[in-house]
Amino acid sequence: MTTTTATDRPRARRVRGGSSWTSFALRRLGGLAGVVVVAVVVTFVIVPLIPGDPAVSAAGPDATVDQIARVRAQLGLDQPMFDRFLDYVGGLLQGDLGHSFSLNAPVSDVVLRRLPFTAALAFGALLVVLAVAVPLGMAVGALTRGGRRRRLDSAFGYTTAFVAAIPPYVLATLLVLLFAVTLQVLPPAYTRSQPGVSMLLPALALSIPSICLIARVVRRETAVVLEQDYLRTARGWRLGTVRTALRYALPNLLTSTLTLSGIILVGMLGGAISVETVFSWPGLGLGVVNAVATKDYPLVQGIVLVLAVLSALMTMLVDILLGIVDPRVRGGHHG
Amino acid sequence: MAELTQQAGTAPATPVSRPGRLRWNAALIAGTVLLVVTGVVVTIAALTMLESAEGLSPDIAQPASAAHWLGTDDFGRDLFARALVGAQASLLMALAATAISMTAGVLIGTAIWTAPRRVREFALRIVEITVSYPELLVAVVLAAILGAGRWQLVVAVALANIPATARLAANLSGSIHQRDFVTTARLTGVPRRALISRHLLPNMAEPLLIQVAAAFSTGLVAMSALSFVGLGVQTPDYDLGRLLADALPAIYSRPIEVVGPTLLILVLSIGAMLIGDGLAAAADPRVNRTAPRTPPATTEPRQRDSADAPEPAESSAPVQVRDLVVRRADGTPLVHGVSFDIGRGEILGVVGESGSGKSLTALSLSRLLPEGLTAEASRLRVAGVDLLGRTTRRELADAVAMIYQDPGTTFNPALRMGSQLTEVLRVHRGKSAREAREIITGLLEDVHIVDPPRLLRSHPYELSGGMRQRAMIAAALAAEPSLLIADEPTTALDVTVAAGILRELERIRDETDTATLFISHDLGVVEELCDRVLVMKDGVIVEELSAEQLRSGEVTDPYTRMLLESVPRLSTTPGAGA
Amino acid sequence: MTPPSSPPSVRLPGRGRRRRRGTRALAVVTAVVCGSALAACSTSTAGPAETGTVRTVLNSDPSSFDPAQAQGQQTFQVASLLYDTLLRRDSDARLVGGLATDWATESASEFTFTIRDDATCSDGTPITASVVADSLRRLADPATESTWKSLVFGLGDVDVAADDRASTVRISLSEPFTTLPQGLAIPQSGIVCPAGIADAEALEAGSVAGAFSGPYTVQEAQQGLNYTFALREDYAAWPEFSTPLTGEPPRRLEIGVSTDQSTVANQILAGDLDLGQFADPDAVKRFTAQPDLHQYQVISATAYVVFNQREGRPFAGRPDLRRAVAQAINQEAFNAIFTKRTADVLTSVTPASFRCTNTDRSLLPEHDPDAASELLSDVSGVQLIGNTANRQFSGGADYLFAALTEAGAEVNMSKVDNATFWSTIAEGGSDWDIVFLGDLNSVGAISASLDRVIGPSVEDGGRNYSASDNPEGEAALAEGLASTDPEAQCDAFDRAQRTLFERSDIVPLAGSPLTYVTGPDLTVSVFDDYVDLATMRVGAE
Repeated sequence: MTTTTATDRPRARRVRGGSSWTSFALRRLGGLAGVVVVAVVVTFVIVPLIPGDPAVSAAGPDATVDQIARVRAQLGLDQPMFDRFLDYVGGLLQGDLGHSFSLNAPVSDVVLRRLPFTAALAFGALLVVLAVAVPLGMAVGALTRGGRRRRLDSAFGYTTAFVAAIPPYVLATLLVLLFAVTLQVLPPAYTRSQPGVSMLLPALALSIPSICLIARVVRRETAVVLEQDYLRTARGWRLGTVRTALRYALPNLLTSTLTLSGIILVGMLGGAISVETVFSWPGLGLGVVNAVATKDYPLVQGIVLVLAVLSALMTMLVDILLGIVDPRVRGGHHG
Repeated sequence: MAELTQQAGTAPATPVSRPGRLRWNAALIAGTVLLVVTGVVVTIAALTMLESAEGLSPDIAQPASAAHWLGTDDFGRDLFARALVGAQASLLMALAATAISMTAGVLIGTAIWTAPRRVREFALRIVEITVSYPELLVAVVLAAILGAGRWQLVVAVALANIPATARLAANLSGSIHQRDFVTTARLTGVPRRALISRHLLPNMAEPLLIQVAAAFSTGLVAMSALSFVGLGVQTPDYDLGRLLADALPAIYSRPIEVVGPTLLILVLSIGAMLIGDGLAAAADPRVNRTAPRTPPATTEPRQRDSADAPEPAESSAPVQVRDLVVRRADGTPLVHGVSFDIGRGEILGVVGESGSGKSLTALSLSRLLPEGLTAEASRLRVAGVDLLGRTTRRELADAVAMIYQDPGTTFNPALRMGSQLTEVLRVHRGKSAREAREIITGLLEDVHIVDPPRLLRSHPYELSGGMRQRAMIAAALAAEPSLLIADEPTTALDVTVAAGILRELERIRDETDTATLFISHDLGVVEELCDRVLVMKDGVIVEELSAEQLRSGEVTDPYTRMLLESVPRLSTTPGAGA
Repeated sequence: MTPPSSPPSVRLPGRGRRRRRGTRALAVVTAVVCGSALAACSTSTAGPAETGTVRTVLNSDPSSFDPAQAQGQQTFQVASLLYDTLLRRDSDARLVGGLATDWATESASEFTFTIRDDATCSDGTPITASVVADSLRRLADPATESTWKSLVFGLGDVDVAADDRASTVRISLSEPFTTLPQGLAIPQSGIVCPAGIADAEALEAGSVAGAFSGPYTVQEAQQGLNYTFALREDYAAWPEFSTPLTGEPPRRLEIGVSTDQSTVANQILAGDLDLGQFADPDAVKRFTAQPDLHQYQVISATAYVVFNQREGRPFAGRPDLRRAVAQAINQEAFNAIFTKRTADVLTSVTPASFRCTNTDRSLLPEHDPDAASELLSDVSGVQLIGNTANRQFSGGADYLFAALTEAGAEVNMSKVDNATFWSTIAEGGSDWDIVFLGDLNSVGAISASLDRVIGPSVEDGGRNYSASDNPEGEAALAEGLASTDPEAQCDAFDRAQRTLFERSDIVPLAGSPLTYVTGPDLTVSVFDDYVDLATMRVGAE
């Protein structure tokens, strides 16, 4: 007796197919290319809009009119816009981001020097965030499921809202006040001889608000996941709390958590701007602030471009990770 | 994922596009009160305290006193007054930035979906691209271009926030657009503007309101961060960010200067966050549901009611239920003392409307009662396992297995089927992954899956409902349970598929001696499959019938009769197959 | 003098606040392992007494490693470490020999310098008279476009002649300029060795190893990140100051970049930095209870109001209005905001420590808001430009704005960053009426500040921001610069200052204090209001 109907056959679509991965990766790469192109055009167009004549800043406070004109020619500012754009793109293709006049050095050198600091800080902070926020959110979500432990729930809710509301640079200053000035156990700022130890406070300052935000999300998602049918299935199979949590709840939280951490990582690149200032952390965020202050127009351009590409890369990485964790994403159930 | 990404990280919630009345909750009330009170206070302050906040006075750098609650600065200006007046500026600026970014974002997001397809695809890509730039970085560059000043800051922060809002709006309107009422409206030629204002916006209200709260609090913090790095408001104008940025270097010598602006930023920002939380909770009833204190579900022995019939003779049935009572935490009974047996190889059907207690009865037997419910019974046994006493997970797994209604979500979407189906064998039977796979492959073949290896490689979403349900049965059989509970296993399936599943259950009865508890609201199905039927109503068994009795309509209870009459006898083929 | 060779004495940190901290970069791991017991992981960073290394920060990257192109006080400091000057500043406004052992002012426009015979460049090239002359000629050459040419040599033509046999360099000026010796002591006039002159671009980037004539060389320049300078083993041309230096020069300088004053203060208090420079009185206050740290306060710049007197501007030809502005301003109130009263109010354009500076308060109008508002209440459309370089300058501008507004003037203030501020007022035709300058006088002579408000205007190649028409003052300034007799010179400069007060061209405000803080092992010498970083010493008494 053959009772299997046609609908009971596995549908022939996207089962570990190479094609799904290729098209998925291609789509993401295409997105990245789009981001880069937009970033190149936008950085070129936007930075000359910054008020104040870069030639004047480059020439220095006591420069004469002739000197300024010469600097303008040196910087190529007397060229027509389109020629400058071609120059800019041509330079970019050769890895040349221009020359920083406030630092007297190629922009690419400066960016390469600063990039590791920003990357280390952002990824370090992200690791801390995920390591703390996910277990915390899951624990609270599980403990307060179905409206239980309302006091814990509101304590968690209000505490995280409170901490997340503290502007990051105020939080950073408070951390310095506590750990570096009062307890004197951690360096108050970037120290050349111990870059690792001096990263602790900035990473903490950068991660605490995100920990609060992500823990809230994880708590909420945990509450939702715990109500899902497949958790009932797992309970019915008597798999035990730990196995159920790790194999059935966690992976389904990861989708939303990862998506969010992508956003948060990108946000960290921005948040690093004020935190890096407090800790004199020589990353790109502080770099862009200094470059804006000195009207170092090629440097602003370079850093903004690199940060934009970096955040696009990060978004893409998260997307790919999501594709691995959650196969539905790959299938284009997206947007 | 799309739903989450839009939430700008602050108040993510599953957008529920269900227009309706706002459900007030504690967070929403607290946040609104906080913001309104602060707003009123700072507005009054801005009208009355301007002179002490901005005029020069000889009382410079005074400590906190009755006259100056937070002391004065080097200009002799009252720091408390300055914080309040600055907060008013910040409040207005954050509101303005939020208004601009929300208006522009929503316009862009909804307009995208009313545009022709090509334009729409392109615009969506652009929005995606712009979202991937860090907001604060964009704001820094914009602030650098626009220069220092209040409105410049507002514009910079607002513009930086537009992409996120636009994406949220685009995603929301995208999902709404595919719904029937919008399609209908479009087909009947409702103009575009009316479509947006009458159909799209009301359905997006809740997630957008959450986004407003998020945009407000992130805007507030972003503005102050820009002031901190020297790109925000410049004195003599001031907002909280400016005040804070100027006071922060003095935190080590004059910490009091930091207090006012910090507190006010916190109050405003927390107020917005709470409102966001409250809105999210209101929109998503699954979270923060108001429930009474609920102790964990328990199953307890119970003294026999004296009014009941005397203890029946020792039964040899593998499943024995006596005097099962299920109560809510407040003591309200939902199932009132149900007793039955299921014999070896017998399928016992339980029918009744929803709320009749049939599922609770089954869940009590599987010890999977939801939080807050307690089960008591004088006897609750499955194949020698006393469910009233302490049991190991393994004993339970051996005793009872469940098959659920399949709404497509009974399997973990993140794991491949193979991994899930072999779970029981690996955890409770100590089988290796390969052995477990072999066993489950056999079981899948038994339930007539054509290509088991392929199914094992698949993710749940790649399978049809029928296949998932067959796989569920295979997983249940893997434990070789004494009792198989099938809770509405065919309700979500179409008729032909359902028939197949029923045949599998029959086969199991015929080939094994598993006792089966089959729960359904469909008398027709029960009649076809079951050996014996219990009819439940309001937590009580109103009638017990044999299959023959049911088939021939020999029912006495009016409720059963009513049930019977309400069954549309289309799919049933009386007598066939039996 | 031989380079320090004695092994550094092992000194245990004497104070609790300089605990040891982990020297390895196992940051995150350490943190996780340490957890709550953070203190257990603490170890201190070693100071210069143990390592010979001085760690400091600048508030921005050096604008150039070419002294002739240096911009900004901290770039001057960098230049002073890398390049020796002919003369060096000493205490009490005196000069001592640097690369020159002796010098003679033959007339107001003729000067001869005798070059020491033991000085070498960092590539070993002996620093001869010709080497010196080449470097000075380059500074004076209009093609070099050094903004310091006029500050060092005046506005006229310059002729530099070298006599290698006699080891002399002779400088002749077409216009008298008696402050030339002081000019040749400023770091911007530092001698660049031939290797550097040969490659101007690399010189600017600090990558010419043989360009340096001073005690330090650039070992590593990571622009935007940090710099490492190394003491030259073969350097011997230390000047002989009136108070001889003791201790050893640091063998290595690690220079970072940090804009945040509180951060730098924290790092000094934590023992992570050995030298910091603070303009913020709040930051300085934090060192008061730290007897082990050394503090050196100098007036690094002076704040005074300058009016735009170009045609069509409200203050052009209106000494009465300018006087009213002076009356509207309360110097003491300004000082409370600008320096928290850590510096003195001014009676001229330079601090009292400068020679020939007016100290007669009676020349200045009294604070009289009522008199001020009589005139100012009719004034409208005044453009005030405020510099946001730091809190002090920003606050000072806020005060000016408030004072003028309270006097009834309709003032429009725009706050701009440091670079924009200077480029705005350096451009003749731009839209401003009133500013207060933070005038950094690197020469240490009052003439170098007087020419900011007297003489040819910026658009005419001079240094006068106000474009005032003050022939009397101009003559007095020229007379002072042409006078070799100190008393006559002071008399002329005094007359020049009087014209400023008579015309109400300026409103003196206050000194702009800068405090240098060094760790317990490190000292530095201060000459009047000048801190010479090349005199940093470790282990001095």
